[in-house]
Amino acid sequence: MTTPLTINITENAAKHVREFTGKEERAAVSLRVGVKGGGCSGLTYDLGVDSETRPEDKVIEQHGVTILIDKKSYIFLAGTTLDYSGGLNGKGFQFNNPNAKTTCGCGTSFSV
Amino acid sequence: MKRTPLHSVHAGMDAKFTETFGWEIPASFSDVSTEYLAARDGVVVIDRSYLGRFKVTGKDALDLLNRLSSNAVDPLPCGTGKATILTTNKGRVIDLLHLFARDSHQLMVTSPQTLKRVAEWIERYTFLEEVNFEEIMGNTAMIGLLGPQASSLLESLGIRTSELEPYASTDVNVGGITVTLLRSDPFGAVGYDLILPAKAASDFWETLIGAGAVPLGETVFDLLRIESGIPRHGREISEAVNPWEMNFEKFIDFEKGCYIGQEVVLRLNTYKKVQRSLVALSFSTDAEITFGEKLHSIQEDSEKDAGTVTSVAWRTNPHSIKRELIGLGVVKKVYAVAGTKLGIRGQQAVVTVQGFAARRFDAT
Repeated sequence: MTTPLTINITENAAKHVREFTGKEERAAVSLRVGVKGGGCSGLTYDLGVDSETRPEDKVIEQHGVTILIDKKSYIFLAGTTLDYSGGLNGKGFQFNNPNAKTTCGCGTSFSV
Repeated sequence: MKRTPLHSVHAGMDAKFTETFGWEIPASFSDVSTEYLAARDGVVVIDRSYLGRFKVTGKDALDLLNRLSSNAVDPLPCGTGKATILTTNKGRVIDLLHLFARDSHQLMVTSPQTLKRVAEWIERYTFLEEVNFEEIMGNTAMIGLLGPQASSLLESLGIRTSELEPYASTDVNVGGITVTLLRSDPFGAVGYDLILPAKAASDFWETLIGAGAVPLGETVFDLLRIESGIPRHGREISEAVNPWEMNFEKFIDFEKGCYIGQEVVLRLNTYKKVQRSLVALSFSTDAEITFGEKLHSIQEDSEKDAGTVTSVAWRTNPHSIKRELIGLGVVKKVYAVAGTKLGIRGQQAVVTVQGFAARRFDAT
C-alpha cells in the first residue's frame, strides 16, 4: 500500500517512459512531472525528462523511474496516478488527478 | 488617496482634483469646452500615471502570458505590442492588458485598480518559468498625448513618430532623459503614452505644455472615452462580463490554441450564448443618473430588466448652453439595437440606445 498523498506511476506507464527515453529497463530515469498555467481550464500537465534535481523537488522512485516534482506543482498533483493508455484510440500518458474539479473538453487541462 | 508624481505640478496649475479609482487626479484644469475642443481639434496632455505598470523580464515571460491571455503574444518582436485579455477559466474578463515589447523586457500596462489582481493571477499560474514582474508605479510616470496634433507636437520636439504603427514603442531622448514612447491609441485614433522616470516627469509635462499641449483632466477624458465607446475597468469591465460583451473580439486570436478560458470564450460565440452587448446611450432628461443604475424595457406591458448604465458624462455643446447626458451601458442583446428606448426608475428617464457608428473618434 502506498500513502494516498504521493504520486504514483503505473507499471505500464513506467515501461513507456523507459522505452521513450531509450534506457535499459533497470536503469534509473528521471521524469519531471509538473503543472503549467494555461489550457482552457487554467492548469495543464507537463511531462519531461530531466537530468537535474532542483533543491525543493519532491523525489519519488517507482518501477525503475525517478519522478521529480517541483514544490508548487506537487500541491496540485498530490494523489495523482500517472497511467498510460495505448492502442489506436489510446490517449498516451494520462493523469488521474483527484484534485481536478473540472477538466476542459479535450481533457488536457484542469482546475482545482 | 494615492498621488501621482505630477501631483504638485498639477496643484501649481490650479487644477480641480477628483478621486478616481483611489487616486487623487485632476478633474479639470480649465473649462470643459476648452479641454474638449483641444482634444478634438488640437492636442491635449493627461497624467495617466494611475495606470498599472510592470516591467516584465525573463525568457519565459511571453510564453507564460501567451498561455494566460487571449491574443497571440509569443513571439512579440521588440518595438511591437498588443492588447490581450486576461480571462478567468470561466471566460470572464480580469483585465485588458497592454503589452509593449522592448529590447530586454516587456512593458505591461493594466487598469488602475487591477494591478494587484493581475499580479496575483499571474503568480498563481507561474510554476518553473523564468519570469519576473516588477511593478514600476513608484519610479515612473505615464503621460498621455492625444488629439489630431499629437504627432506634430512630438515632431516639433525632435521625436519621430511617422514610423510608429499602432502599439509600436521606441525609446527617445528628450533633454538627456530616456522616455519610452508608446503608440497606444487609447481612443482608437492616433494617441501616445510616454513613460519616463518619475523625477523627470514635472519638467517633461511643462515641456509638452510649452510646445502647445492643453492639459486635460479626468472629466473630459472620460467624456471622450464614452464618446469613443471604449470600456473601462470599474465601469463596464469586471469579472461579471465576457470579452464578447465588451466588443473585445479584436484582442482574441482564434488560431493560437489554448489559453485560460479559451474554451468558454469560443463556446459562447459558437452556441450564440452571448447575452449582452455594450451600447452607447443618450438620456433625454436632465435627471441625475449615475453609473450602476438599472435599465428596463418600456415597450412591453410589463417592465423587464434590460441592463445597466455603466458610464455617464455630460457633453457640452461648445456653441450653445445646452448640455446633454450621454453614457455607455451593457444591455440584453434584444435591446442593443440603435433607436431602442429604455426606462430608468419607472420611466423617470428615457434612454436611447445609439449605434457606435457615430463615434467621434473612429478607430484607425
